[in-house]
Amino acid sequence: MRHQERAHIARRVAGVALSLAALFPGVALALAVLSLCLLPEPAAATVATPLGGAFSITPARRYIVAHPPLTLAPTGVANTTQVTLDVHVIPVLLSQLPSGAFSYELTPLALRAARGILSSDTSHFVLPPGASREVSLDWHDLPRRARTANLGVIYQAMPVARGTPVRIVEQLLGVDILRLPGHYRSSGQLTDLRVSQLKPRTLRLALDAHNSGQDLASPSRIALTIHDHTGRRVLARSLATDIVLPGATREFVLNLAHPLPAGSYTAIGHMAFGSSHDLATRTSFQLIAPNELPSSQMQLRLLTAQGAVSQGAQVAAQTKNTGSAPGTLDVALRLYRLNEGIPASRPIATRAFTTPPLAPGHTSQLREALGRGLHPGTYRLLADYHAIGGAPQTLIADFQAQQPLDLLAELRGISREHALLLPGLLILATSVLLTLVLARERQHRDALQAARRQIDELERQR
Amino acid sequence: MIIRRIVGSLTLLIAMIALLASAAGPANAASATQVVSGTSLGILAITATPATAFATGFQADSTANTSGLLTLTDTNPSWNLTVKDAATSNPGHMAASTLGCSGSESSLQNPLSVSVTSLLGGVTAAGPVNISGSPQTVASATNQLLAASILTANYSQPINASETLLSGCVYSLTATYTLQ
Repeated sequence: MRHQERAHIARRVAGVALSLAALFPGVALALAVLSLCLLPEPAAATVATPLGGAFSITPARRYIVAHPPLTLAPTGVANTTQVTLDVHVIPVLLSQLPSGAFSYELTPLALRAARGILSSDTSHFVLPPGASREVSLDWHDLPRRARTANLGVIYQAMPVARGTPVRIVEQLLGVDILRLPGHYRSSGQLTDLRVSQLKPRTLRLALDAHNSGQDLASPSRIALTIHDHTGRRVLARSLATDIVLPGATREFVLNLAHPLPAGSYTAIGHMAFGSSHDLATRTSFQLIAPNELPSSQMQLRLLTAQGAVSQGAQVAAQTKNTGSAPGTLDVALRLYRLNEGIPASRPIATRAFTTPPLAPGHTSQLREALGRGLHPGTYRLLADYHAIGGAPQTLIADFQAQQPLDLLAELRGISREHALLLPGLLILATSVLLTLVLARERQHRDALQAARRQIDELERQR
Repeated sequence: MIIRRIVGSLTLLIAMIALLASAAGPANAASATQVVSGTSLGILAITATPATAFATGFQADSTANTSGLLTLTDTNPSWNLTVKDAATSNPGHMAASTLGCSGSESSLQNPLSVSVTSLLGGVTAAGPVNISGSPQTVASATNQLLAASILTANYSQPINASETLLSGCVYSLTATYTLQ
């Protein structure tokens, strides 16, 4: 029931109670009490409960400045769903991911360390439908020489749901930031600024802010400006700030759909964080079309495979980059043996690799070895990669594993595959021979001329 | 009689108090100048409506799709929703039931992918995420309150042509969603 409707009904009931007070005091008293009950609840309690109920905790975040040991105000855990919940309570030590999400370790060592700081009066209980209970938390201590601790308490519920392909475990992470009274240094650094393509015509600018201070804090200001090649500012945006744990680096992101024409730009990140003012970092980027960064468009094609008995498969393919930036390709090879044309259930060899960076507009030949000890028979090679746009692609090449050829047969095979090889070699040999003969003849001619010069010299002297 | 009158008067008094209380407007309309302050307690709540069974496409050389609902409440406008598979063996991959699956793949080769979407303007959806043993953000916000807000979890399971799936074998996965 909404706040206003509830207040209106309470007023009507109280009015009826007033009019009946003289005649029917008992009824009037009951109505008066009812009207009091119908008075709207305070705002904090009017958080909407979803249809079908929810698993909930309150409070969700606490910032405690005190000296341990201390018993914190209890956390209310409620189940307003229609099913019984199996609830586990797990204190954890918090760290922070670049996205801002808190992370934690569930190793026995980490859990023991967390329990040494903050423990709950229960670790497991069953919450029937419509029930709630309080979980008491005790702050025992801080790690040695630490003045703060960032703790979380996981409240995990597993509803009973049968016959579904994806079962769900629900977790709520309560955050308890604990610290001793006193002064804490608050400072930060801007460590990186990256520009990437989020989707067509939308750029993603990510600014990394590092909390180099002693306590959890937020940047007081964080903004991005973009300047064109003349230095003119073409865009300025402030970003929403949020908390960063001490020692953590958090990414603040601007998804930019505002069209910037093709050209050269410089993005500058600005930040004020505690005692660190006027922090800035910059990066340059190029747009080849409005809001379009150069990008690679890698293709894999012309897949072939061959193999000899007792040896491995030789894989060849071509990679081509039709994009506007250097790129690599993640390729996964799978080799199956075919039995009457049907592949076996499991591959006999697999290999995953990343191709070397390829410049835009270039092609490159790929050669890989896969598996070993092939038996006579037919094989199928599958090469999986993600094509332009992220769609998965698979190339297929079948081959027969045959007995390895002797040297003469190999030479014959080579000459059959490369028809111009033998004539080319003959021409080359003839050319070399001719060059040698000519060089020898020139040597003789030079020697003859030298002898003649000597004879002429001797005759003149005589 | 006297008691009856006292009760009647008391009733009248209570009713008047109730009337005055219910007629009272917002706090700033009161004539008294007493300062009252309060800090609302943060609330986190989650309810997951499990995904329905994959209706079509759960076969070799195909992609099966289904969806479920997540109903979330968070009075902190900055929040994160992560997903992970806590299974110790091959997390993120749907596993065959221990019964009735002899000869079928024990687990699927491709991980289950989930994409969480919302109609709320301030929600940043991470797009398709392959579920793994590590928590991965599927949706987040820096300035968007959640009040029993409904998010849709779209699951996608690609199945390779080379995978052998026995008819009637049930595959499942347990996804752990964490709201913080």
